[in-house]
Amino acid sequence: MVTRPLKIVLTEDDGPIRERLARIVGGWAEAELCAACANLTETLAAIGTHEIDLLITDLRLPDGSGIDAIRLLAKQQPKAEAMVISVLADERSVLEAIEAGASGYLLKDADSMDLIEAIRDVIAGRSPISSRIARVLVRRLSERVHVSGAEESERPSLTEREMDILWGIAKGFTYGELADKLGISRQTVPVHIRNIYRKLQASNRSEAVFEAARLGLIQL
Amino acid sequence: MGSPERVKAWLFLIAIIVAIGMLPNLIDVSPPEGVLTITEAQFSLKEENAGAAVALPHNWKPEALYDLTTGIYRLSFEVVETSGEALFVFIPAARHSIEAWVNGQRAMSALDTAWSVPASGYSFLARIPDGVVGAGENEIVLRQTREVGWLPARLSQVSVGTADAVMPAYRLSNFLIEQVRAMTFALHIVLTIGIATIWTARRHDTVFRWLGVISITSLLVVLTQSPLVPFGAREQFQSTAAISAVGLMALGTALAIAGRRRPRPLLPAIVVVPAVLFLLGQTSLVPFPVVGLISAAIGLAAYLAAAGLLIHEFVRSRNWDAALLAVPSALTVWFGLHDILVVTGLYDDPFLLAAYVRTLMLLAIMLILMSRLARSLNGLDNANETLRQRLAAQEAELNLLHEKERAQATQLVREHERQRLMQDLHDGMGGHLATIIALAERDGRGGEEIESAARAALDDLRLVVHSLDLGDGDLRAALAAFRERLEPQLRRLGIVFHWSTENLPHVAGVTPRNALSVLRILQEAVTNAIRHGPARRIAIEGGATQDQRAVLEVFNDVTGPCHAGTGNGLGNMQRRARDLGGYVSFKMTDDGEGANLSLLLPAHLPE
Repeated sequence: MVTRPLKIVLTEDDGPIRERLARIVGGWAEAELCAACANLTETLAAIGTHEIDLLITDLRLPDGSGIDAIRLLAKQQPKAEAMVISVLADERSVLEAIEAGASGYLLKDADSMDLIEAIRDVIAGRSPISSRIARVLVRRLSERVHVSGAEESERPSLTEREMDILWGIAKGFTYGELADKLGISRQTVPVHIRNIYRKLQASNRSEAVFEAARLGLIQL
Repeated sequence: MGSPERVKAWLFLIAIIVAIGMLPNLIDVSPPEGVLTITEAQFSLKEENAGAAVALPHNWKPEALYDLTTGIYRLSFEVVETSGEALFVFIPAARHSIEAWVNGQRAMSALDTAWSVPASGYSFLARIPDGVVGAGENEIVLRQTREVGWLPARLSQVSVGTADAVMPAYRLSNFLIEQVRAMTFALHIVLTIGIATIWTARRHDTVFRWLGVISITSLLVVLTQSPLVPFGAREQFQSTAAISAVGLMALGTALAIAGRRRPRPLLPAIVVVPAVLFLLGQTSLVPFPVVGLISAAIGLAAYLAAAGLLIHEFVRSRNWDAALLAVPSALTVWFGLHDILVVTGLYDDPFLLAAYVRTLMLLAIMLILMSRLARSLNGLDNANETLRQRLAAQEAELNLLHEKERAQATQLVREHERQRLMQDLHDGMGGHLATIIALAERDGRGGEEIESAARAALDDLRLVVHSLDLGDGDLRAALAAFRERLEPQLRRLGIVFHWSTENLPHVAGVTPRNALSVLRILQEAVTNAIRHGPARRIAIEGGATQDQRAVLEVFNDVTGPCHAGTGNGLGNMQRRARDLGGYVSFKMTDDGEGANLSLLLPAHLPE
């Protein structure tokens, strides 16, 4: 565990929710809340002035998207982690954030225990994934294989193990069931997830180009 | 093609050529049997001379070529007894025109037709006037007049007999000599018209061009040879010189059929070679016979080259057109050589054969034309069929693409709709509920109920939203979203939670509506367990009955007095289960410390 308190920036436009989350984080001895921001401008400013360990941000902000904050953080402070908060943890916005550099996500109504547990996991190099997010990922990856073929090197090259885990989660198996099936420890499953996220982030740039070409091809 | 195959192809063609080449030898030109046959005669070139005794068959030549001379044969035969039946003089094989006298009376021969060519060999038949032949010694005088050319005159043995005895042999030779020629001429004209017609419509086709040129030229040659045309030395020479031209044309045809490039000098040679020969003959620099021989040699050499080329082409690529033309080309060489030997007197044979190759050549050309026609018609049919199939394939592909596009468009619309709905719920109701929870927590104790109500509302909202996205209609995947939501909720309450759907069999027909019903039943069961247990441990397990139907079981421990099974909750669950075609059963464990709710689902949920 970290020896010094975790420096955290929190961004949430809804006042009561921001206060609630700030209260939980502020009450956690191992963390130090550097700033609680209500919009993108404040967040970007906070990232510019503080050296932080973790950014927790909502995606829909009055003056922009939390994803821009995650991108800036990944650029300026590559060692810092980012998490998104969402009411539903819907797969599209979460995946977009992950591709921008986020490592985890939280539900807005998560209670203090869950929230602190989630932060601990992300800082320790473990990432969460829901079956819905896994399903979208599997679909996207297999679509890429179907469509591209030639652009094999452009897509994130997941290991066989990582693919197995993604498939298993998409199929609705629990971490425990998967770990038993694959003969690994339950704790390493989220580590594999983190690796998958990093590969997604890396392939995001070339992916955007590829996706555009694919659309162009269809329009032809 | 392997070399044994090539050898076989060579042998095949050569065998056919040899077989056809031997055919003339099968024709019997000996006098009919059982008829009086004269085998010797007195021969003289001058009327007054008594002549010398010669054995028949007999050849003779004039002192100078192209002289119109007459040879006289005197033959004698003895008759024991006259029968009164009409008698005939029959000569199976003779060359040059013959007039016959029996005992000083002219025996009338069959009328000459345009097709009897006495110079190249024919059968002679003449009726002896009644009562001329008497018992004892009789005399036949035959006057054989050379009208044209260089050919030695020839007389076979002579028969004297009744119509019954000589007619069969005469009819056969008459058919072979006159009727075949007439038919060949007709075929020649028809084919020439046909080829010329095709040629005018297909100017670019070299095969038809050559066939057209060759058939027109050879038709002209045939016409000049006809007895209707006055025939002098010059005409004879023209047709002799033309032999070289026809030979060169045959070479051109062979090259075209083999698909080879024509050597540049070939086309001018067709005009130049006969023209030069003609001029040489006209200026008397070279004697006519030599010019004729040179022309024939060039012609036969060209035919030989053509035959070799065509046989090679057939052997190489099984081109049957080439084979068809190779046979008459080779036979032209064979029969041409035969005729040259006969003409020059080096070989004795009654008939000239080269004219008969023309029949074969024309038949071969006709076969080639017909097979080309058939091939191109087949090609047309195939092309039509291929086009039709291609069109059908393209149409099918287009339909498939269209279908795919439509499916994609539909899915996109649905996806967008779902996205919009989710966004609305997320931004609107979800946000408000989260805010309510936050506010309730801040306000302290009084807000607990608001908080739990808001949480329940948010949970249900998530249930609805998640059930909208089922991926591939997999029940386990639908349950996973429920589990992910349930886990932190139960952890918050300090309840130990166990989950396993590994053994859940496949259930078909998992629509969002059906999935929502299953999830609501489970949600209700968990809520009941928490509220009425109050449970400290909850386990949800998916499994299969013996007949492989899916069962979902919710186990929980019971710590207080139990009211479950009687409340409104179970009724709701049973109603939902019935709608799904399944049923819910609830029972307490025997020791009363646990409860078990099972939901049995059919293998196929109703649509």
